[in-house]
Amino acid sequence: MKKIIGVGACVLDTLIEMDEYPKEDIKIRANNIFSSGGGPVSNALVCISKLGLESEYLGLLSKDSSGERLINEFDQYGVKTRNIRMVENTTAFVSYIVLAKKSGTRTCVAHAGNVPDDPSLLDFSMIKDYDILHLDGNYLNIALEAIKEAKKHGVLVSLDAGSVYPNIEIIMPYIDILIPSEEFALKFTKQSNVSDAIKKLNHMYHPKVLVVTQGSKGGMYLEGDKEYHYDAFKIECVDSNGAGDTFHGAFLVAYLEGKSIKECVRFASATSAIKCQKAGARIALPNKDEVISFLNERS
Amino acid sequence: MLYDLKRILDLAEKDGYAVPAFNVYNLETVMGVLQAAEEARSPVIMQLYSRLVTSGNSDYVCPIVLEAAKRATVPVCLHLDHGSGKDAVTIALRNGMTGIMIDYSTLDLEENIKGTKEVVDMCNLVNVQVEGELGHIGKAIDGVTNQFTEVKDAVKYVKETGVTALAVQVGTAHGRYKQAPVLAIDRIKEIKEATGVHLVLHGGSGVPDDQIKMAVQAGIRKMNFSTDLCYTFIESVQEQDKNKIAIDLIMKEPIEKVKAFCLSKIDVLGSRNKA
Repeated sequence: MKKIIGVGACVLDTLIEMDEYPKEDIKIRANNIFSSGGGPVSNALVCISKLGLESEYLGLLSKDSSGERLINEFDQYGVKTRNIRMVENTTAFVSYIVLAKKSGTRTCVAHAGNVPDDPSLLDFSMIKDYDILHLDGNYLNIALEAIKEAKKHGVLVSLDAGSVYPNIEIIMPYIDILIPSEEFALKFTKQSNVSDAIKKLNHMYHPKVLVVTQGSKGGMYLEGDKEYHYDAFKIECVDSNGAGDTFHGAFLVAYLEGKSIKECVRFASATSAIKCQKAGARIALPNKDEVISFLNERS
Repeated sequence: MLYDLKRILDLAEKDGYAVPAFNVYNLETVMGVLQAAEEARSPVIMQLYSRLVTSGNSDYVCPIVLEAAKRATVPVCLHLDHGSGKDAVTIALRNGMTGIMIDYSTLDLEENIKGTKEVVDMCNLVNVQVEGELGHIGKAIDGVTNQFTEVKDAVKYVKETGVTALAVQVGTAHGRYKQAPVLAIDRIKEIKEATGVHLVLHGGSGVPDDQIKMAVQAGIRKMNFSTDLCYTFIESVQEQDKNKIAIDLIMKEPIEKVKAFCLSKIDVLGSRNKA
């Protein structure tokens, strides 16, 4: 079985469901409040596991109830946690997300906590047994050590480039599968349109795979020297939180099955669309059969 | 056999010769260089000038070299020549190059060290080693400088950057010389003894053979040949019958000429039968 290991944010999300985003300086009740694990790489690993491939999270978590909670949730979804190390006297990466029903928006306020970005506390030797190392630009020191090990053994390196984090350029030269958001692509390359940004990213970094995601507009990918647009599926969006993370996880699953980039973005878009029809970044994730029937209904 | 820069230069150090580094530009120059290396059983470095990397040519040339290196029965290193900055280095690494030269030699010592160190860190992460340059090697047309690389600067530079190889200014220049240069053999020895790093001589075209041999004895482990390889190839192409149109047939003789040129340099550097 193909396997994917991830290094990146592992966040404890508190999701607040409301009809609309609240005004300032008021007291108001939410429709529902619940918590769930989150973070781009972590959600992608859950998605990969649900789609039937083996996945593992490699990193440091706070040694407290939040850290335990995050590990338990990984276990529940079948994401391997055997190489996670818990660090005493640290606090977890947390975020509070307001899901506004009427506008369909998600507003996220996060604090990265203080779990150290210290690779010396981790073992990286298991990376050689994996097909892809998936990153999201968080914990760059740990990511660099992981990249070193991956490159030594010919393991592909993938990056979900969602936001332009400080110093993210240091990992860019090593990325084989580069899938930035439109926001990242434009800001990072200082271009005004996606077509120019994708060309510039390709010239600068020569990734094997380059896709720019544009949310409900679909996105663009490069095949050979030509860029192509792909559409997102038209669906009733209940919760877009984690949609991008899902896209990445599903894309890598399809890629490891040897599908073309066109087929990979279609499979990833479908997985993401199904997720958006229900609330929750993880609970709403489909299995592979559900994605295949979704696609069959629309072919 | 695809080798990285350190591995191929360590071989030369062990056996006391210099590895020839030939600049390649296209399929035909790659063929000429590799056929010479195979025939002479010599390790060889094929290098691409930085412009070929930033212009996109290396996207086509590197896969040719890598495939040829994989099939070769002699050690082959694919090297970036005179990397102009981190952008060029990034593309070179993505192209699969196994050696990188970064050239910040026009900067002052501190800036050169700072920039080179960043490139060393970037390349070492993926097990690729770096050649730096200290003491600017200019163009022959401007005349050869007597501002040789200082030993104390070399010691500081090597220690602080962690380069695997160092190009030094000991009396050579790039291009064709107006009169044959005289190399500072003693300076080569001094730098070698003080740093222990693999030394590189640029501007090999047109340096008299006996001086090259002395330079190798003094500790040069990589020697670059670009200008004379270009002349050899171009002159042969221009001599071809204008009525010929099949490119493979036109290229037969230029490839042979490049091969003969490389064989002559392999013998001067003492790398024959060292593979």
